[in-house]
Amino acid sequence: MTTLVLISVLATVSPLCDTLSQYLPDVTVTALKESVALESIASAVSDISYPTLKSNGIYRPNSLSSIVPGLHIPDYGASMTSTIYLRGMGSRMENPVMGLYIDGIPILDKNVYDFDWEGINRATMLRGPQGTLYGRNSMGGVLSLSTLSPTDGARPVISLEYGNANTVRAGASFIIGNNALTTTYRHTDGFFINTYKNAQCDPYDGLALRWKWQNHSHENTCISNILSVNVSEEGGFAYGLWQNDTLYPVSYNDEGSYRRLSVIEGFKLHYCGQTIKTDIVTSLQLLSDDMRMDQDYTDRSVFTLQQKQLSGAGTLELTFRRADDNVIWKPQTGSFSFYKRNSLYAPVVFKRDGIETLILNNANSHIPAEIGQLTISDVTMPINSDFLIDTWNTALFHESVFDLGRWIITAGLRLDYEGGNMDYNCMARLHYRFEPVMTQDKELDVPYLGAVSHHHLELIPKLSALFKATDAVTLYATVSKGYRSGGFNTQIFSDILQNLTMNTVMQDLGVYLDKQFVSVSADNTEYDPEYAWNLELGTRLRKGTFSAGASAYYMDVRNQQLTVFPPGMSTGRMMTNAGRSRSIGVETELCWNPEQFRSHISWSWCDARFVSYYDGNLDYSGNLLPYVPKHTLNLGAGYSLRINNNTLDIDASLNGAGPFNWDETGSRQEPFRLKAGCRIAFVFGDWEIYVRGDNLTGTQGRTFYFKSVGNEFFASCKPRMIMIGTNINL
Amino acid sequence: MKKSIYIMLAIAAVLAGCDKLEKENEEPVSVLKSTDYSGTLTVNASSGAFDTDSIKVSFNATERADSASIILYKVKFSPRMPVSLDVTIPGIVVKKTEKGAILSCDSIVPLAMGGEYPNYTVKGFQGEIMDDLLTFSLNFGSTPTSYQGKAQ
Repeated sequence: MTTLVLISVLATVSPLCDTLSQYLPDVTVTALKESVALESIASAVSDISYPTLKSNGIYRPNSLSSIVPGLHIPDYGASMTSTIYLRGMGSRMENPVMGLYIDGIPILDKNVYDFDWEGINRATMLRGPQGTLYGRNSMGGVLSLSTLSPTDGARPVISLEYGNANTVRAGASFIIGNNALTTTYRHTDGFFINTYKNAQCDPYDGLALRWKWQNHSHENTCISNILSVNVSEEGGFAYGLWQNDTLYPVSYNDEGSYRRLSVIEGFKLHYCGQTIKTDIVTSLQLLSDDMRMDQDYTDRSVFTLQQKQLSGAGTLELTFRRADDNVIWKPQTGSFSFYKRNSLYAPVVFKRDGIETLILNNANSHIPAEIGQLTISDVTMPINSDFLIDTWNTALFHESVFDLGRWIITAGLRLDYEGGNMDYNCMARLHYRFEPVMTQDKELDVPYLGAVSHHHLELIPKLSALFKATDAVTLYATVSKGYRSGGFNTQIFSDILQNLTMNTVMQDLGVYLDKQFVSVSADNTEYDPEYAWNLELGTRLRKGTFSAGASAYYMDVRNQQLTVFPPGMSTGRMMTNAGRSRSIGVETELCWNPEQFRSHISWSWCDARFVSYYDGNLDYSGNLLPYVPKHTLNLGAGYSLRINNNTLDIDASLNGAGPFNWDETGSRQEPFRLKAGCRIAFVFGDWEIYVRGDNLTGTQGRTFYFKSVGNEFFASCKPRMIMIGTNINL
Repeated sequence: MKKSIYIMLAIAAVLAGCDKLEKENEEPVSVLKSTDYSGTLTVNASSGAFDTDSIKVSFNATERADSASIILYKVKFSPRMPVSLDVTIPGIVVKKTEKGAILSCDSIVPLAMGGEYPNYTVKGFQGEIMDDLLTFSLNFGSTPTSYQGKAQ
């Protein structure tokens, strides 16, 4: 019956690092696809249960940084940002290197990766390429979240937390019959002041609802339905100007905001026949969001960007396994398909300062002054871009696990096809005059429309061997491949239109510059998938209350997707397959949880360098990859003190990452920085009251760096935070 | 009756004659109307004379073919000039000849860069269309310039 309860999930023994594992039963539930128990997977695994999530204040994905060794999700921008770095891979734009699954449902859009984790019972992370079973965008790993289920039998919980910046987090979880309901609300006034507006620039209000229904009344069948709705409205983009070795406060004059509505409806069917177990997982995913950004991040009216999208997607996965788990050969065969349509409206509006500095200065620098000078009379010059982007994927996969007692051999292969098409319809309109020849303005429309498409076929193999040396010690070796999908650069279209507009104006005037305004064309906006081969050796040890894991890897990354600024006077940026890199690294996790004491160490070292990368101007071969921390470290310790029938829980942690380079040249670096956290909770009866703090050291590190039209900007760490809260079991 | 027949024959003869005349006139007019030429532009700049090949010139005559405009595409008046320009010379007087036309004008302000460009006022324009050849010479401001091109 137990297997019926778990839909496409496995009953496994947690291999590592439940720092509060004394609260948990021996058998835990993950939402992974593997055919073997978690401890028998030949990959580096981090498995974090609800108590650990709670004691570490992990309510959003970026809080997992460093707790999962090598994982770095800097907290900046807005909740659409979700930049993920893992094992030297990752980029600030477009597709992620980590796949996210919630209750076995793949989340297709990175813009919804960042959400409040109320009702998340377990976070399990497989590190390294997992392409054979998980397909696209899992070349760095897969994060699988398990949510509260009706079968958990937990009592209703109400939680409430309040902290500085008027930060409120309120949540409730209920189980009623076959239904598990979770809701959470979060508000904060924000942590950074926009000095231009004299107001916080990063307030947040978000509401999340999740309803899970499960029915396993039939002996061989279990069905479930999961509906998640997230709605949020926030500010963001707290970027300060860096000039003369001084970081200035955030100060921008245009709107910086992000609004999001995300609906994910998933349906799962598990049928256990006499010989074959069948799992069907299907989902519908809707995302409507609207991002507005002052793209120059200054108090001048230069230019703004809006990205408003409405996307819908459907996924379907079928998996077949042998019904009998107690066999040597455990095959798994399946198929996966999805179709996604995204309607994106992304206008860039040049304002007066931008028209003067970015457009006219650039244009007139090409035109001899004795001939004349171009003027544009518009107060604003919009470059409207509409995109209709279709993406589709279909894959067949097979993985065979041979359980030979002390040896477990796994071999798998995935045939994965992905196609995409982008229709673009862009238009710039302006009123120009060429002085002194022209005596009045002339209106000019510059349309730019067309379509580009791509098709890619991938073969993604995996081969691994795991050896159970003793009851306590396991060794494994893995060779696996993963890939990150290709796509289309939409952000570069404003740059294309900007240069096309200037060339069209010149053509309209009958003036031909020897040095034309250069930009890429739409045909160059498509970028290819990125591939990673992973060679990994690892070991796991579990003895009594002590557990440890270590892995060493070598990754060869090809067709590396990098964010570059195109040639010319660019205001846009684009993803391109510019390089090849390699990562060498070591990851370790240690846990020791004797009785009331608990401790945890996660550490990683990664050396990720370009093997070849020439951006047209400079050769970066041999340089460190930017944004990738050389070390991540998390130290945690806690103690539960019994006082009569009550408990005093004290947990403290140190969390750090670095050093890393902010750009390919290494001219800007971030040192290794540690932040301290603490949680003190008093549990009496059904009540828990706690105080917790983040960044108690007040570490003033930086989380993001970029350049915009020649200026440098940094995002800073959030300041020290103190919160008080309560959890009530009704 | 005979008189009427003579009158009709006379009218028919006149009409036929007109038709023949129109056909004779039509041919040079259609040649004069819109023709693109490709040829060499020679500019005698202060730094010395220089030729630019494959310069396109459009000859556009009016309906009556008594005047025309000439558009010179992508021309430079100095080898070091970082831009090339489309220049339109309007108001050229056209006198048809048996095999083409004689072109002339003086003190005409050309059109360039979206408007009139008096710095390059055209002086002493003299040219000829002969069969499929267009030749002309002029001063753009104080810069002597000449062109010889063939119909495309």
